[in-house]
Amino acid sequence: MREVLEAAVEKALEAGASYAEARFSKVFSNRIEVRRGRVERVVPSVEVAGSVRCLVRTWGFASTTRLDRESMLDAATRAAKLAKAVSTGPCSEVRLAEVPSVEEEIGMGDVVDPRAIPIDEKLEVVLACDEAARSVDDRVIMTRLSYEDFVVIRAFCNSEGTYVAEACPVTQLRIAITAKEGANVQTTTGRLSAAAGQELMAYGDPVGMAERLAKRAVELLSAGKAPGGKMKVLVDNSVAGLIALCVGLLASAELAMVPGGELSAFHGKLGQQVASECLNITDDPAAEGLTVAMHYDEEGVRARPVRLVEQGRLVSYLHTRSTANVMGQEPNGRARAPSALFTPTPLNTNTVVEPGDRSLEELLEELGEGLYVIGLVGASIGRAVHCDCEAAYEIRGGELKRAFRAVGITLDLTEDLKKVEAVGSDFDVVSLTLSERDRSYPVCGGAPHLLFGEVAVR
Amino acid sequence: MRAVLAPEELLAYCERALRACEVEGAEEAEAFVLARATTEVKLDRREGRPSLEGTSTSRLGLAIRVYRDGRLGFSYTTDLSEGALREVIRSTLKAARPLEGFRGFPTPRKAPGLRLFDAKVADLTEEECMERLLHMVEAVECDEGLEVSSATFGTSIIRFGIANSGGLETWDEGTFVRAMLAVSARGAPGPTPASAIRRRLTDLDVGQLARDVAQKAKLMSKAEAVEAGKVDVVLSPWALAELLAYAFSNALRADNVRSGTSVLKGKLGQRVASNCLSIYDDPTHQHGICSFGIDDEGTPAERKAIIEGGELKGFLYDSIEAGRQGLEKAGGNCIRWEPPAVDPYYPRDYRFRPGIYPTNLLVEPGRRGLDDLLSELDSGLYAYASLAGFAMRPSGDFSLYVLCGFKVEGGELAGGLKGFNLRGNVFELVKAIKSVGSNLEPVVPEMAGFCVIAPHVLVEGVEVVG
Repeated sequence: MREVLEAAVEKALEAGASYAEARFSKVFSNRIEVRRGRVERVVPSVEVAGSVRCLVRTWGFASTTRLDRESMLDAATRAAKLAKAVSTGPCSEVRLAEVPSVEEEIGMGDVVDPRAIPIDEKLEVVLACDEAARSVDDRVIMTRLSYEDFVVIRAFCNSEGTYVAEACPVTQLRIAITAKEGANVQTTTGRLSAAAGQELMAYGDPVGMAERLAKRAVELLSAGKAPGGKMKVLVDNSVAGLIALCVGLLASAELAMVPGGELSAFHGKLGQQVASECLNITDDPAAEGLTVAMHYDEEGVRARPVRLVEQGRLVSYLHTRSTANVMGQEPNGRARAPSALFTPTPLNTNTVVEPGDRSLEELLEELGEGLYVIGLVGASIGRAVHCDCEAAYEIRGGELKRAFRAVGITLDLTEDLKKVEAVGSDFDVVSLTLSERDRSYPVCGGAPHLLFGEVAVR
Repeated sequence: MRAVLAPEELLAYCERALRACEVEGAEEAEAFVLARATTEVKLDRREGRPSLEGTSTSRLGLAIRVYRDGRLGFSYTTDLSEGALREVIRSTLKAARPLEGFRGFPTPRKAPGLRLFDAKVADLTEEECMERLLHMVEAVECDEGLEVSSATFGTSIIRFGIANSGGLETWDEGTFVRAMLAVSARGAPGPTPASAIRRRLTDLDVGQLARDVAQKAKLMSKAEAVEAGKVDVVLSPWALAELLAYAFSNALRADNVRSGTSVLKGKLGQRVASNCLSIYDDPTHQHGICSFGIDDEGTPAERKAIIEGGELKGFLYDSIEAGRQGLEKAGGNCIRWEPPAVDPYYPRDYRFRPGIYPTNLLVEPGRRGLDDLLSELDSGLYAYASLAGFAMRPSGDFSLYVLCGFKVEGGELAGGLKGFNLRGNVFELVKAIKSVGSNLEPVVPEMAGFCVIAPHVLVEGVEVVG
């Protein structure tokens, strides 16, 4: 494939481009969905894609699902033609921050390749989870299990002499359990997700997770409704992980460059206090055991860990080469794309809050009177983040009292991050897929428990 | 014209796949091949600097369904080499799951020759796309105080072929042209958006789109906070399409009616909406983004009544569900789409497992223009642009965030409103529609795999929350 990519780059240069790059992706995947013991679908698939992007004064991009030499050369010609056509418009010239040229090929490492495991074996694990959850109690009325595995193979080359190729597996299982009694309906969710092969299903204990989720859903049926209003709140890792993930998203240079946008809370905030002094947040594409594993980004730039928030101060954005140049900052390798069919955009990977020094007992004591919110079920992310959570516990005198069912909290990211008063010493992650139109990106947030001085509870 | 495979080439891929399915042991098989070519030019303003980008995407993919021993399997691939195809078919047969009531894939039937394919769209050059983009930008920015924060102009061509082991072999094609603008006015809380998508080039007036959004953006420059309460509201086609796209359309699916999850179960022949409301599923509508002569398994397109004069008239079926329910003549709503992925031009694709959805949900237009509806409203709100893909519960309960709305006084737009929420239940909202406008707009809601062709509507007593 390298030879075809290099030929495509050469073709774009011949057509008048001052810079050109070519990408390739091949994604093998298996998706399994089970609902209440019934196998809803099992879908194996293979997607290949290639693309060429080049600069005249500005970008031209062309992609194709046909990877023969002729189709890729045609893509190069189309990309150059488009770049020339749009360069006639009133635009600033795109310039790229300088990066070193590299040549490297990275394999999957020591993992159990999901392609080597028969689909029936995978289905067996998912059905065992379903069975375990439904066996807990007759009041478990719905189980939804979605299993996916991918092997993603990517290659990139450009006119500066860089060639990188990388293969990475991802395995994930999402479980949602619903229990019902009369009109009272409670849902709990859990997720296993990692840049790993089938070994995840062995060490991740998915059956145990399904059983625990079902028990919790049933327990919540007897829980009361939480009080609403603004109050002191301790959030568990799932909610804190989402908050970390949101910080990573807001740090995208692309979003931060648009004033007034729904996700531009970090516009013009570099060097300013955006969060409490007790928060240190890093985006790390190589963190072990998390969902995203990326050694090089979609522009062939080494993707290194980036400290985003240092003692509450925003210290960096996440960049492509062109956004780094516009903002006069170092490129940090965060150009991401769902596949070679799409243009890259700067986006976070695994964004994690550095653990602090408080045990859960100490955090509860510090909370004193308030709510302990657990189990993220879903969220909408905008200027305000609305989190739907499974449950909350009333805390009095630093001790767990009554459990409350289905509680929602709303966080204003421009203000509420500054209200974090203490950071736990534990750590866990939440994985989500960010979707916009036909693009979707896996992202991951990791964090310890976080104690907020005040949060709006619904 | 850009390169999209010719119909005979698409059908040759289908034939090759069917032969391979037979060799691998499938009792019945279906192959669906879709090719699409999209070209877009885009302007973005970042840190005050305009940047332009041109993109061109060419996709070709194959989906197969195979049936053996009472089990049905589905898969797709963009690797169309013989070896890869065989491997995918073998995996699909292994992954096939039991399916009750399967009576075979659709048999060949004569389909209407719709072919909404405009050669002027297909032949539009990159330079001509740029001219239109710049025309929109200039039409907005000639107004002092307005700036385009982003603009897109693009075209897309679709061609797809379907063949099955029962002898069906058919194809269709279509063109799409789309423009999008977001305009910032000094003092406005955020950019004011506008978009339009059409099947023919002459149906898209980019100058008019720019002038309309410029006028609205100016009103947003002095946006005020909304007053909460129950208010009469004119919903734009975009807001109405969002509201009809999720719980409402899911309740129309015959499989959901059978399984009991549709709130419209048992209500055929009953009044479920205002008597001024009629809704059809119309795959033949000339402005429909999902208008084709066949559905995604080759069943001929046919207009169906869903609601007439407020009365529920029918549900949506694909061939498998029609077979299960013993309805030989039903079908036509096999749609290859899965949430949340949506291509901005044409949502359906080979990547998606077939399901039951509307094609074009057509809200039958009334006789009154927007000005007449605003006069009838006299005092209230106009909900123009809403946040897409919002959460709606299966019960139909919704909270729709309107990011750009206007207060109406004396039957005229009197000023912009900062973002607010409309709350309610969509099945109650359709009963509260008082008047239906005359101008139709085809809209593909951001997280729906079909088109809603909607006019403006006037709704009584909607809960508004600031």
